[in-house]
Amino acid sequence: MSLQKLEKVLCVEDEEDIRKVQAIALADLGGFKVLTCASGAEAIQEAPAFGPQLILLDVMMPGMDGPTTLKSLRTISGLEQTPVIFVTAKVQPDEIDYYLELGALEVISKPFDPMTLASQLRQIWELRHAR
Amino acid sequence: MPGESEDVKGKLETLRKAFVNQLPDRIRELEKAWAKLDSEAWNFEDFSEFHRGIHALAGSGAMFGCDVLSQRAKLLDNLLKALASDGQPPSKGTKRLIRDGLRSMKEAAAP
Repeated sequence: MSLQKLEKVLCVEDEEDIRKVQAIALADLGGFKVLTCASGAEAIQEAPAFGPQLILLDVMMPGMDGPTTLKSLRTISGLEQTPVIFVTAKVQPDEIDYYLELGALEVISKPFDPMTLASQLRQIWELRHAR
Repeated sequence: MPGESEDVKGKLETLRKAFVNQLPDRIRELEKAWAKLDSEAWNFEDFSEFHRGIHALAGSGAMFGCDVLSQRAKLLDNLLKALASDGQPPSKGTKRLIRDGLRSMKEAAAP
């Protein structure tokens, strides 16, 4: 079975500067089609029409945080299985375990390297399909 | 592609410069927000907004290589996180620590 190419990534991040960096890193350098959302609520509204293959989700956001957003995304038709990668400044091993238990595919720590973010996502994507 | 990579680096550098240039204004806004919080009856909503501003500077500062600023913002962020989970207005001592934290961030952001 051939590997489906990763093309559409949804980024959910409340900090505008980091959203811009993600968009440049993933669209300009990675060649992905990228949708950025500033909140969990916006992501829940926009994600179904966009149909992301992968979701990059900030953990600490005001209002709906990352884990709450993930739970809501899982109730949306078509997004029940969409892989989610949490992005967080907290990278203690027990916290990473907690995020993985919540259903995240992977955890990326902040600050991330914008020059390698796209290749990091591709690698995670390929590993997931190799499992 | 090397050309694309240079283009991306250029865009990121533009973002970084904009962030650095905006730092004094952003910290001034945080100082104003704190002065308001400190002088009036404790407002949890305004406090959350203030906390969010500090948290954002910790994250963006690290992203754009402003390590000292980011570390100082992170220290203050941790203090504010503890205060938020307390659910109580800050003591005089905590207020002093917050003022000190803001001052140290301002020093780190000075051109």
